[in-house]
Parts: sequence; C-alpha cells; structure tokens
Amino acid sequence: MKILIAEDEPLTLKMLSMKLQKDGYAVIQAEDGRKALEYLETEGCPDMVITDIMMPFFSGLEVVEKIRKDLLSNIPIIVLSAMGQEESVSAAFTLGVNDYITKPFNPNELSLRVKRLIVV
Amino acid sequence: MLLLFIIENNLQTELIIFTLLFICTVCAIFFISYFSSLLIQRRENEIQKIRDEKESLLVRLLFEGNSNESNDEILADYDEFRPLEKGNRLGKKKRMLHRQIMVDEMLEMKKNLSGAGVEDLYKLYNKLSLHEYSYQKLTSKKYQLMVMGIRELSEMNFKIYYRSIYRCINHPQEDVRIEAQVAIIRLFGVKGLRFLSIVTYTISEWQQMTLLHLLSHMKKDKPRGFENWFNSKNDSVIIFSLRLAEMYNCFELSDRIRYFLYHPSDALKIQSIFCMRNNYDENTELLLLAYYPIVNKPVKLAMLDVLKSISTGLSIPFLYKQLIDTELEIRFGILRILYRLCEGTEIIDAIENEPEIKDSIILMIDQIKIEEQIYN
Repeated sequence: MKILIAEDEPLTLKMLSMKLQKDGYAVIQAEDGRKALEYLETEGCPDMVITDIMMPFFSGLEVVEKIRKDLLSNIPIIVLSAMGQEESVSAAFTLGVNDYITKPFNPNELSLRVKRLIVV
Repeated sequence: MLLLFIIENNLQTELIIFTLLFICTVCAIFFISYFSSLLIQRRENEIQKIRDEKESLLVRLLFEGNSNESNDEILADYDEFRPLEKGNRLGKKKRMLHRQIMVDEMLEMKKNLSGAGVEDLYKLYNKLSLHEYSYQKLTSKKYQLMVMGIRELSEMNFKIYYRSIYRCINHPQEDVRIEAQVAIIRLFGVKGLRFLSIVTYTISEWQQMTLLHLLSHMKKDKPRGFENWFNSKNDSVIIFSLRLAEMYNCFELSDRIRYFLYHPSDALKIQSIFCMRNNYDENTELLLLAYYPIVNKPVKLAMLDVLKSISTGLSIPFLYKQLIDTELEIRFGILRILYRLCEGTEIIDAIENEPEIKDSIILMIDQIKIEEQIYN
C-alpha cells in the first residue's frame, strides 16, 4: 500500500513517514504542493494521500482538486492541517476529501483513521 | 625598489606610508570579515547538521522504537545521552549544545502532537534526563536562561521543580515573572491560579490575555480563591479575577462584582461593569441606570456597551433623556442601544422637541444602520 504525504514541515513529514512505515505502508514524501502534483502526474495515484493545506507553490486543496477532477480518482484523501476553521473544513469536504484532522494531532488516531479508510 | 623610486622622485613620504597603511587596513578588515563569515557559516552548517540528526533521532525514538529496550539500543550510539564519566568523547560544551538542540526539537514537535504522542514526548524528555539541563538554566543568574529553563520544564510537563518555578512568580525581572506565571498555569491549570494570592507586581494587560487564553484551552473547572483575590491590594489581581469571573460565568459572585462599582479606581469599575454582561439578573439594568448619571465618560461608555447587550424596554425613557449629552461618543452609544430596542423613526419622533440635536441624530442613525448591515 502506497501513501503519498504532502507536508512542508520537515519534522512533521518525518514523523508521519516513520509512523506509517512502522504500520507497514510504503511512503512517498512530497515537501510541497508542486512535488506532490509532479508525483501524481508522473506516477499516477497512490493508494492514499495525506496532505497539509498551507504549502508552498500549490496548496493541499489544489492537490485534492487535481486528484478528484483531473485524475478522476476516488482514492482516500486525508487533510492534516492546523487550519481548523469551518470554512477550511467545509472547503476540503466540498472538494471530496474523506477525512480532516487538525493539528496538533494524535499519531495513533491518525494511524487508525488511515487503516479505516484503506480497509473501506 | 618602486618605493625608493617614488621617494627619489620627491613625493611626500608620509602620504605614501598613509596610503599603504590604509590599503593594509582595508585588506585586513576584508580578510577578517571574510574569515568570520566563513566561521559563522561553518558553525551554522554544523548546527543544522546536528538539528537534522536530532530530528531523525527523535522520530526514531518516538515512532520506530518507542519501547525502553529498543530506545536504549538506538541511544547507545549517541555520546551526548550517556553519562559523562564513562569515557565520553564528547566535550561538555558540545554535549550541552546537542542536548539543547534535542530539547528545541522536542518543543517544536510538541506543537503538532496531541494525546499519546505528547505523553511519549514527556516520557522521552524524562528518560534522557533533559530536565536536569533545564533545571540548571532555571537556577542560572542570567534571566534569559531562567526563562528558557522555566519554559522547557513546563512545556514538558515536568512538575518536580514546581517550587523553584513558583519562587519566580515575584521575580524582579518581568520576563521571568511572566514565564513563571504561565508555567504554573500550564502545569496545574486553574489550580495554579493560587499564585494570584501572592503576586505583588502588576500583571500587565498582555499577560492577563495570555493567561486567559491558556486557561480557555483547559478544563472548565471553576477557579477557587476569588475571596482572596477580590481583597488583593494589587489592582491588577482584582481586574484579572473579575475577568476570570466573567470567563467562568461565576454567577454566585454577582454581589461582590457589583461592589466594585463603588471602587475609587475607574479601571476596576469598568471591569466590574464588563463582568456584569455575563453575570446579570433583573436588577442589573436598573443598577446601571441608577449609577449612570454620577460616573465619568469612560465608565459611562462601558455601561452603554453592557446595556447594549442586556437592556430592555425599561431603559428607553432614561436613554432618551440622556441623548442631550454633548459628548458625541456617548450619544452614539445611547443611539446604538435605542436602535436595538426601537425603530429609527420612533427615535426621531421622540426627539422632535430637540431641533438642535435632531440633524446629528439622524446622521448617527444612518451610520448605525450601515454598521448593522455590515456586521449582521
């Protein structure tokens, strides 16, 4: 199972990668929105995407839009963001994300949510 | 040879020496700054390297190992986390630098973690004995280090040294004082507020906002100790406790809160009025109206602000009479309440007998209508 993580904070990116690798997933890291989009264009969709919203070049929401509208893919997408306002959450769900987690987050909870979405 | 030639050519010797000295000085400055920048760059690269290394180590300890045995195995390769006496190759200064960077990374990581993740971070901080270094900083004579020590210990929820932190509540240096007060709240929540009984320095507005913000994210247990705080000789403590009473909806303190309306300090009067916005009963409106004519402008404005939220039809006749006030700000405040209670046309009809203020009131009502449209 391949999971693409788009996150511009290096420490959080490392943390998420290690946690998910330990759970048995293969992780692809993207340090910004552009790298995430490049990966999607060249390699196609992975089994799941976890993305931050505020990132350089392209936002997480643009990444979600690309997956849902251009690539027409239904893969599970989790948004992991410090932006907990109603507008951000509703914008993300309108675009078709499957789950929204606000930072600070509990890594165990994230792990369970990933597992649930992948099983579904 | 060239020099001799120039001297032989009767040029002024002093000028040449001066020029040469000048060139030498410029060259020396250039080389010194070049080598200093190289050294600084090298140092920054070294720190970045340690930072990256510590980031990876921290992630491994928390997510790869996360058990005592596996963490011990991972840590075996790191001299900075082994006791100094066992043939440790790392110097004391380097060891401190490594540990400080590890603490910085932990604090950075804590911002994004919650629940079990944070608990693991606390355990790791304890396991690596990083609290000893934080405590050393807390006991330092340099106030910047003290602030760092207090912050690290409280962020990592390390309660053992709370007495030392508590002693800093009345520290002469403001930064230390502020950090200690925040730390006590961070460690003990509302129970930590007992420091209000002993604090002698003024708690600044900014500090009060910081503490209230911190408390708003904690459990909603009501604080205890208002009796002491309301009797404090420190006005800032009374103001802060009034804000607390407002935040925690302490209705049982209504009588004590009203009592501050008769306090000589305007700041206290104003705060007690604001506090009534959340703690009011059927008498509050009448009390404010009765007291209104004998207070000064800032207190009147506070009263009008609160009346805007709590007033009923009872206030209307009184407020019409107050419309003749010469202060435009007050007139605006009164009109905002009246506009909420009755129609704009009713207000204009009511002031028909006051032609000198009628025009300005019509303009103000228009302004209020626009405000209402924007904000609602």
